[in-house]
Amino acid sequence: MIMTHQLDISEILVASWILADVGDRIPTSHGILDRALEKAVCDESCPSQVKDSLNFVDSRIGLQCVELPSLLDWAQRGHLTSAPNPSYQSAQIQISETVAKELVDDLGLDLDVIKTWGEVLYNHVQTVRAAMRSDYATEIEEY
Amino acid sequence: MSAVDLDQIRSEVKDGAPCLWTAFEGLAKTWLEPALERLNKRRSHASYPKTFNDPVWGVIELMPWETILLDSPLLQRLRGVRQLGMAHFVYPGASHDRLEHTRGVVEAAERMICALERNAKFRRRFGSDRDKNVPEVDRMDRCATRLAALLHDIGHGPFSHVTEDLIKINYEEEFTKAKKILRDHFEGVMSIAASEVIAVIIVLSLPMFDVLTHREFGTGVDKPADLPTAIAARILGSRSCLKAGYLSGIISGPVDADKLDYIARDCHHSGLSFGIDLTRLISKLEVVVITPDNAPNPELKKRAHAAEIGRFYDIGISQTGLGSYEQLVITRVLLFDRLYHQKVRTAEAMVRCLINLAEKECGAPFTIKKFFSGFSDDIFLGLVGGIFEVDEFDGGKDQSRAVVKMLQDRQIYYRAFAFAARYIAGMNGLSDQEQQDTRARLWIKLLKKLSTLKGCAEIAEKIFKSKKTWSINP
Repeated sequence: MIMTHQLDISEILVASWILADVGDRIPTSHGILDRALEKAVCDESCPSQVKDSLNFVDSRIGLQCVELPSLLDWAQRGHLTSAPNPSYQSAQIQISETVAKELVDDLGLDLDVIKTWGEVLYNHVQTVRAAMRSDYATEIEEY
Repeated sequence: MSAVDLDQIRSEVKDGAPCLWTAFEGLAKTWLEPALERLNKRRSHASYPKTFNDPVWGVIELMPWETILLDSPLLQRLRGVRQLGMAHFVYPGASHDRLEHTRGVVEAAERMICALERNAKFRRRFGSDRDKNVPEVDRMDRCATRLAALLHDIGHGPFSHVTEDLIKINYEEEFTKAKKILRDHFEGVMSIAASEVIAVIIVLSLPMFDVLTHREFGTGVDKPADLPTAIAARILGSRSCLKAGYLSGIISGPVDADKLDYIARDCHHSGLSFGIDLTRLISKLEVVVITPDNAPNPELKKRAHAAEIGRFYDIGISQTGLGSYEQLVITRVLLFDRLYHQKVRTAEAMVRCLINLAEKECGAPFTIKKFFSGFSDDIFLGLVGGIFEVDEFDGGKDQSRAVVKMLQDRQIYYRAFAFAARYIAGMNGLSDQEQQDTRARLWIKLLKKLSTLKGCAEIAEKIFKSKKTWSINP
């Protein structure tokens, strides 16, 4: 199996977030995106490139997606997102919907499928966020 | 404590990564043969711990079984591998080697174990929440951790990280499979570097098993046959094969002996003075208790519930040690920035180009045996460039020789082009969003090319051809 370039996966991740039109910053800490991704990769709308490239580990600090730190780094280096300032908890998406559509097109993926997957991912993020706030001693500050 | 089946993992790695397994098991046999010979001739309990003077830690003590490994080609090979690749071209003092670092990591690990052992003892005896269950560090835990410290870098080829990608690129699929197998068998392992995969393959190999379980090796652990998996687990930062769970990240974790040593040592040898207080940082390490009530997320809660005593223990830093930890983190960032001077990066790129060139001139990619031929960095350069000749090492020809000569004379290439998204021009008059979109569109295409060795070579060729055109038609 030839590894898909991690920047491709970053593009899919960011594009799906934009196309889902959630108007929110993308979470980068507390394992929120890791947990949401673990659930979202099981959805039938998840592109195979993403499904095959991500590994999940019950690490020292809980569930982590092995590739996520690198994916977020690529997204930042590719100017798809901002640095996760000022709180290191979320990053601002920097590209418009037009560019997101171009990226999806260039990767040969279906726009509607990516949009659906983005919505699935966002819903899982919201569920994980809510659970972290109510069930665990986790303080997530809002900026 | 979760165990790992050595035979099972061996057979899976052998199937999934046959070239890597065969090559490194063969090398392990050669490198460990002298150690086995020494063990076969050795009289029981005849040896004594050895001491070494070290510029960072002062006196370092190695146990007799550790010196058996230290005095074998497996580790002596690292004497010729520079810790910082080509950094000595800019920082003349930074020519220290991986062997020196390896001994330092053993000492750092020992001090961390002692600090945590002390804290565990205090937790059992003092305070309002005395916890009699905090496990002690047993002989197996200590022995495996120290041996992991000693062996954690045996997977490095010449010039350390400079050649790591070149080795990986020829066996990409096997490395990916091996990583997955290791993650499946060892609990809690995150990212694994190619050099760690190699180190673990050597540790799990049959020749290493023969050394570790030899009747004269003398570690005194109850089950020497469990040492290979325990050492591999420590190298990977796993929590498997461990009684005192708080030792799991000592060799590979957020605060580990590897980082403590290389940050202090690289500062010392490069002459870059950043203040880090290792003594305080180590003394402030403590055992953290995770219970279902204080677990910050579902996975840790589940793990605490599943534990026999309803809690588990991990490594942490006391609040009064956070200042020292911050110093370490900041120093690491600054050190990386300063050490990776553009001249150092250029020299490293020249070494990579040289190997590519030599491979083309030889007509075949370099094999694992070639990369791990055991020669020091400087001799390796000479062999790659065809300046020296030995049996079974086809070096490059004229072009490679010319590059080696340049490196030997420190004739480093000059930077002709620099790529950064902020250099994209001609966007005046566009709105902020349009500028961000244009930048991302252009930059992503280039970034994809620049992130592979092949892509870099293609761009370099284009630049070279354009330069020729400019020279002809200025």
